[in-house]
Amino acid sequence: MAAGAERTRASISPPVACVAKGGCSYLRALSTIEHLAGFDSTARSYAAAAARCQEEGCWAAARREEPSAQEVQIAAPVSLKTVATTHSREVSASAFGALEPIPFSRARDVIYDGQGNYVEKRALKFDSLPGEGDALAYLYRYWCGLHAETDCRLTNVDTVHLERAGIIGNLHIVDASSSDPGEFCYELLGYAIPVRYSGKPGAYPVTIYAESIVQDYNMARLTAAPQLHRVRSRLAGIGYHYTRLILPFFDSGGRVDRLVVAIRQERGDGLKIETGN
Amino acid sequence: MTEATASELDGDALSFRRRTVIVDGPDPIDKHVGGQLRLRRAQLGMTQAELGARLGLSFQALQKYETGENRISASRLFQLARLLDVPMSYFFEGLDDAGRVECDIAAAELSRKEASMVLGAYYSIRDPRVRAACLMIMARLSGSSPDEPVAAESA
Repeated sequence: MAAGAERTRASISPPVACVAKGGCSYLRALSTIEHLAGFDSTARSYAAAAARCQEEGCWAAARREEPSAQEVQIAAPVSLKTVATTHSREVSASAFGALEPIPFSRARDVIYDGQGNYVEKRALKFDSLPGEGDALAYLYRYWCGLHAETDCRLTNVDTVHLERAGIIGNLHIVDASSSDPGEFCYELLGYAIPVRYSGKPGAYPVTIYAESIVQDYNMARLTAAPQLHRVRSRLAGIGYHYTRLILPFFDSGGRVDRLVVAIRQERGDGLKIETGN
Repeated sequence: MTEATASELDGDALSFRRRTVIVDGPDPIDKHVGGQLRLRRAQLGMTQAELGARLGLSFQALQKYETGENRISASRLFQLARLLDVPMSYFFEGLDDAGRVECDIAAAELSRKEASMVLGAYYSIRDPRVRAACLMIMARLSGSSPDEPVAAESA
């Protein structure tokens, strides 16, 4: 038995120095996701690995040395008979480039507050997600598969798919169980997203932005349907430009209790996209 | 008896009630074994669907193993150990002889230590009125009725 235990330790010990993008933040994010999904022992293992990451190396880093999903072609989640395949459409990767217009589903909404802040937001069609090689597209197809074949609870999420999508650091998880959208709160904040704010979405210091995100989160909760937006904003003098996918997850009673919010930061300020339309 | 785990089978046979997942939730040991399976699978970068395909199972069945909702049979555990390149004992690592998770034991130890520190600090307050005030503050902070502990103290 002792030899067996030794073998286990050898086979699962972190093999390389931590070079994972995000390093310990990566493992801590995984730990939080596992905890929220109800896998406390797995969460503890990730947290322990994160604590020892610098000294003993990071097993997540070893995996990263292999071609990641971002580097190789991202295939559709294996053997999930995704309804997404009916949604997915071959769109060239340049569809999200700066020179081509984006097939917005409706006219853009722009809100100003008279203090130099603005939020410009457009809902996007899911057809506009690239067929392959895109983290949001992969995540959306994975969610569609889960939604079709499971209760679509956070417990059903397989973190290996999140890793393959290369989206771990760009994920927020929002507790949306309250009927009052002002009470929605972040349970996980994407460490790679350059917004340092950890309060409730509804209490964001720039009111127009707080109202905008709470409205979108609440829409996802009420409709139990994913939302896809392109957002361009200037908040307290800083410009942001990103595409945001909001995916609802359900409790045991079939109500939306959590939202997984995935962000893809876009290059530039989006002005060329705006003139393209 | 509210909780009856597999590890408590050696208790009073007459009072033993068969545990069900629906009523009692997954058995803690099954849950732990499922967690170990999930961790190892993730370490190898294998999705539930991929591992399931190698076992001839659906990804939903793998999910149920991992949550402890479905118990893994001995033959399946043997297969899993081979596929995941770990010894059988790997799935039980972190459990003590009574089938409890070791970190839960550590947490229990910690709370015992904390309780003893609180008691030590409490009884080092010599003035009974100050002690009663402290008790009242703690009772209010914890949300329990302040009357009961004070009455107990004055008694």
